Amino acid sequence: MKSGKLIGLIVVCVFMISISFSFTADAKEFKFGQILAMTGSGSWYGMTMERGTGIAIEEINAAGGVKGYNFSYVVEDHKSGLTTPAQNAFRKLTSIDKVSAILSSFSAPTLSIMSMAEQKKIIVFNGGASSPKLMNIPFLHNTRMLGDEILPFTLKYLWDKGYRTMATIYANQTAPISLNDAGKKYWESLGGKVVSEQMHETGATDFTSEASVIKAKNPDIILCPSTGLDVGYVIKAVRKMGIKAPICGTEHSGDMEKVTGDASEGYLFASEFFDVNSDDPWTKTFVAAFKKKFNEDPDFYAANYYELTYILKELVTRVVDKGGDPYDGSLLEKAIWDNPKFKSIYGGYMKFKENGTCEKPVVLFEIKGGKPMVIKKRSG
Amino acid sequence: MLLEVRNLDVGYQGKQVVFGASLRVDAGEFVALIGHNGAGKTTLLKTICGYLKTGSGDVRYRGEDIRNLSPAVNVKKGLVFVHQEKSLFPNLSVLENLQLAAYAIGKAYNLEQRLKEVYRIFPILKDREKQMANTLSGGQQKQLAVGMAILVEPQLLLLDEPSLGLSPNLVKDLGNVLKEISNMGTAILLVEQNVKMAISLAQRIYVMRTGQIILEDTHENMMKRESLWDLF
Amino acid sequence: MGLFLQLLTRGIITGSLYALLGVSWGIIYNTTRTFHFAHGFIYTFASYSILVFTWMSVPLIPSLLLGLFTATLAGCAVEYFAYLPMRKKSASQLSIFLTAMGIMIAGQSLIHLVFGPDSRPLEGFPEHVISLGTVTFTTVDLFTVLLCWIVIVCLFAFLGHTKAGMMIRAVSSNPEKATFIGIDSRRIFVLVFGIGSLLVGIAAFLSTIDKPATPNIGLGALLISFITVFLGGVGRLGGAVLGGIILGIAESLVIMVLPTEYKMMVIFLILFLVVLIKPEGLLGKKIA
Repeated sequence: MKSGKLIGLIVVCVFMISISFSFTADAKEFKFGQILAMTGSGSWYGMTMERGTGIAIEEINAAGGVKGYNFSYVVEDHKSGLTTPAQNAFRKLTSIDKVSAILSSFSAPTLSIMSMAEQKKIIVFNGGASSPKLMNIPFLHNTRMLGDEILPFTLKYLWDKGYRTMATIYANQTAPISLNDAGKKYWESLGGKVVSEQMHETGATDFTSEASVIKAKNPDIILCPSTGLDVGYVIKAVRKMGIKAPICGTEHSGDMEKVTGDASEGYLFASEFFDVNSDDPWTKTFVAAFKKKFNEDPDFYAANYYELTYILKELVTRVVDKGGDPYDGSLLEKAIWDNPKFKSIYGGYMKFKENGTCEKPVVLFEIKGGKPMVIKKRSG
Repeated sequence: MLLEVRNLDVGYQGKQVVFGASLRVDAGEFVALIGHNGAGKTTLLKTICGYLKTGSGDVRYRGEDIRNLSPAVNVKKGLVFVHQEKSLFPNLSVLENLQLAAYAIGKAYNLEQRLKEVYRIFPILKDREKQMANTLSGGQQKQLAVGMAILVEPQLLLLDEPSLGLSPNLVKDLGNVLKEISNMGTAILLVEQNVKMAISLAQRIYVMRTGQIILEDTHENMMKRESLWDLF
Repeated sequence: MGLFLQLLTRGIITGSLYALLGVSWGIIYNTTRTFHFAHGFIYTFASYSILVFTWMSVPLIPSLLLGLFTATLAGCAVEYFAYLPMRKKSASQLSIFLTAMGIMIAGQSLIHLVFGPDSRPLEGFPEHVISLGTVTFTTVDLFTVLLCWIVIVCLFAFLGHTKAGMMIRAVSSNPEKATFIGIDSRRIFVLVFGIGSLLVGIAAFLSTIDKPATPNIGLGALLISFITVFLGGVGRLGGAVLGGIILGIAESLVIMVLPTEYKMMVIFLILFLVVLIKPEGLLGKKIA
């Protein structure tokens, strides 16, 4: 009984604090929302993404904001891919924080809020998830290349090396399931054979039985399009079974080596190419600022959310210039199509496509000495 | 005087069960407390050993007020209670049950000798030494329970209906054993429904009815009574 | 056949760890009948304690010993400062269970607050692949199996052949009688909480040399702990060992017939069936 009252009291307090914040908010503030993986097996993603946004906001506000608006954000947690927390976060962000734009991540949470977003005309950007299901959804724009556009790049590389049979293991989540389908179809279209497919529970840590099955099938390569640390645990179990076949995937979370140790050597994954050593002046300032603050190089997730914040800045500028209210999401949406080409932190420009995706340079990475190294490039 | 109970009231589960009971046991004396099922005998016994809380009244053991002491403390003072059932450790061997009785009160110094004594009184326990206690027959279990009690050389043994569930032959054997224990100088307070056995053994007898002690008399007088039924 | 042998080996490795988890919780439950939900927290706590000592540049073995020591103290403290006062006030089983759950959740959140959500690996244990015919395992696996069984054998020897062990068995088989012969059950309770926490600390160590620690590793360990106990039979510690082995092997072999995501479902199905057919568990005795 007592604890029930206490929880009630806490809820009321939190509610009142958040209300009072929204009242004290300066009229000249542009606040947007973020729904990221702040806890759970993908919490590393949320951390790096928020770092990217944070640096962009500091820079924008230090330069005097945008047309009289100071930038700020509120971050909410979808607990590494859960839809209910994502939907609650969406309701909170739109009803209490009154945001008109949200930066989201992960496929399932992003998909779960899109019908509400369309209804309320909230513009949503995803710079993290890569499921092909995120295409062609009103008000959703992906600044990450989607998996079925990237995965063939990896598989073709392995096919050309002469590998022919493939085993797959993937998490029971939206993106891994659709990526597994896409990967399988592509492999078979090349003439390859899929000898085993296993779906695993998200967040599982013991994959030794699964690896035993893979070992029995003796495939040439292994595809694991799962996310977060799941990939690390799969790699570790596979190597533990003494399987030498190359493993490829679609993700590399920066803390993966904590799980795998040196077992991740040779792991292959393709992604947009964010080159920290680029000569592009904008890239250079971002990398320097990030390094100064966090004492490490930014990855492409941090870059994507940094870039997204600047895209928002450009959209707000366009709307205010026309005399519109940037808290109207439909105006932000319209402003994209005034000119879908935006300056990219990857160097040069990126272009939004009508189907909700974008074009960026792609690169194939291989883990060497515990770090992703570029082994093949394709321009955007 | 070894044990003195005066004007004791005891409540159990919100109901008063014992009303102003008074009794005493002298050193080495064999006393029986008889009465019907539900008269409050077992409750009184459990209160004396400290398992149940007293209402008002006095419980003194060797002159010391023991009302707020737990059974675990009282057993170290030589006041030992034996349950009518569940009075041993089913998953332990016979030997372990006996050893434990000594270990529990830190009285292991002359264990070997005491064990010999117990085995002399209950030879069957020696044969079953390695067996689990729950494989013993009902009579053997009773023997083991009493054996555990006498192993620790008690000054006062509180026995709760030891004859319950035993065949007439076994009851007779048990009577002999109790007599022997008494002869060795241990005081006994025996609670029994088996009136005949109790009266034949005890030097003094209390009769209890609906929570009150209604009669106290000697062995000789009780034996002379033609019928005991008027007491109940 | 190769796959079967490989999976069986995996099952035995996992099952050994499960058996250790089972006895660690079982000794507490069998003796005190306290549904020690906070056992999961002690597991996480042990793992992080060992890690913290290694971060302070203490070598692996002394870190392990210090970590196990603090975990044992933590387990005793939970009994002494939480459960014991509640039992004294004759609190119901349910309210003790809720308290335990509270400690579990609060403890886990605290670890999350202090150390963050990151994965924390315990490095320094040599891991090499060993292949025997079609069966492959690692040095960590081998060490896990050996240590689990050494610890389990030591535990049974302790319970069977020492005075303290005898008293623990006495309290667990007849607590009321134990009080009447003069055993101080409170001290025995604290003792078994200490032993259980030491054992779960060893299990946490074995798991952390294999997989990094995160603040939420405790819940899974707790689930396995009590499922093995109820599967094997309450009141019989050997039951927990049997339950652990069965669970480990079943979990591993099930993959031959069902997709791997059904693993957890199968575990609960086994528990459900056993409890339905033999409510007292595989080795448990009927309650009269």
